[in-house]
Amino acid sequence: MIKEIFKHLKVWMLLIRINFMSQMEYRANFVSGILMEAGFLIGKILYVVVAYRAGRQIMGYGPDEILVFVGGFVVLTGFYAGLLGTNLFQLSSLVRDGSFDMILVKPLNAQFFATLRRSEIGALAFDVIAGVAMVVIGLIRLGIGPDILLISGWSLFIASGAAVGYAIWVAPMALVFKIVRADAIAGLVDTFWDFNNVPMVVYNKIGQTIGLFVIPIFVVTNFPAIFALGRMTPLLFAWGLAAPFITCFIASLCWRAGLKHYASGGN
Amino acid sequence: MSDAAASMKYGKCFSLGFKAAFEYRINFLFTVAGAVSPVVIQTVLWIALYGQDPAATLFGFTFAQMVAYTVIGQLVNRLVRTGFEYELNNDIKSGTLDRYLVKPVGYFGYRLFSFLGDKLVQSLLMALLLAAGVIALVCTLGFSITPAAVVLFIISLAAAFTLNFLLFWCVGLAGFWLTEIGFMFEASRIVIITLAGGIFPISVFGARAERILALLPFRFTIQFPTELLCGRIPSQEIAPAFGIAAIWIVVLTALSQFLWRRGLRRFAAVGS
Repeated sequence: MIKEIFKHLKVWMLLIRINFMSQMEYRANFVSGILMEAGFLIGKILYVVVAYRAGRQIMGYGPDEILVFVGGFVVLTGFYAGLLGTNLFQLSSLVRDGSFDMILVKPLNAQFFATLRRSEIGALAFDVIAGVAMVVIGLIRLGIGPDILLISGWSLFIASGAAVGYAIWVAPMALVFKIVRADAIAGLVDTFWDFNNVPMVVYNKIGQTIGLFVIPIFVVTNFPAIFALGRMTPLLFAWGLAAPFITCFIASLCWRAGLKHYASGGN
Repeated sequence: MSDAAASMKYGKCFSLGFKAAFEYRINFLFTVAGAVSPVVIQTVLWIALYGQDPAATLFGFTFAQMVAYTVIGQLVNRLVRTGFEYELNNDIKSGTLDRYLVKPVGYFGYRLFSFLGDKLVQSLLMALLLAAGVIALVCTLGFSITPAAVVLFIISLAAAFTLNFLLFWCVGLAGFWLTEIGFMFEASRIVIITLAGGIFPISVFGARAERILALLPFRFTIQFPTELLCGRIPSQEIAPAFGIAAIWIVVLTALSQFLWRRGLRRFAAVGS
């Protein structure tokens, strides 16, 4: 098991390297990819601008705290845009024209290879740098000094958020094997992602419960900020650690169930 | 060529866009469904910001005006959205543009009238959603609307379609100079939507930025039609605003023709 995990990690690193090298061949595309992320970043920063310019508290959160939230959201958007997005948007066409066969015959886990083989390192690096900068600025303005515990905890919940985000994306996309054209599903999940533009406290109790435990979208980006701001309750802490394992397990079940419907069409 | 022949020819292009929109109407409905989440996210944000004082003004809007702007602005944002720039880029990249160059129809006119035909169908579908949105706003927030505002909104939408088409036509023509620009379209789109007031009203940028943005073409694609329907623009400012939009249509048409001519000189029809 451990050997398999390391093998897949090694392959993933190689794939990232190969993708980076091929992107360097088309530098204009690489730069325009970063420009696109910069454009989306503007859309996210606007929420911070509104918080600062309005000069009001949002359910007990001031503008600097909103900056810490949005910073975490930007980092995890980098994970999605850089490591996951391209693969998921291509999945539909792979299944439609039967190219998915080539993934199945590889001596690797099909879910791993189908969902992580392509990467956009420029977008990932841009968002991570911008997001971390926003978090650091927000914490400094709040007078919170980053120590080892804060950095470790924030990083842990960023990793947890990345895993939950991966599961939230992969589980519905498994429907692609059944319905073939799943572009609309990808678009719909994309809109769910944006619910993290504002802290979960602005939603009512029902919305928060659904976003935490049913479709745990708030685990993705709220938890790192909640931890960094010292507002984490024991229940949220425990759920933040358990959610990645539970959601990834469910996503894996969905993937395997979906794969049974793959008909190798187009060949 | 006689005027009658030209109008018949571009009328056909218009009807092509009209039929294509009917064929992909479900796709458009999904696009509109994508407007639901920003409306929900921003509405809860405004509820939190206005708190217990909905009569207060933020960025020049009362709570009711802000929610109305959010709902109508998001629908307008979806309605004016383009997509032809990908086809334009593909025609340039694959060389299939040469097929249009030898046909007795201008490529610009073909794309413009197809786009307008496509938007006519979407506008009819959107009218139903807008009506539902306005009724909800009337019932929940006491929002009111006048027949004059509806007429001005429809006229401003025609200007918005034309301006957005011209903006993305100019962006799409970059395909003559750059090979891979798919990402650039999305980057341009988000910047244009932001400057057009498609995410938040442009007053969030501050008074000085708002004055500058009021003179640029972007506002006329989303914020201007939305504010007309909301009845937020004083009557004496409506005619000058339409004047500025008309000037931008002329300027962008001239720019697009200039870029088209310069781009065609570089076009080698590789791949066709």
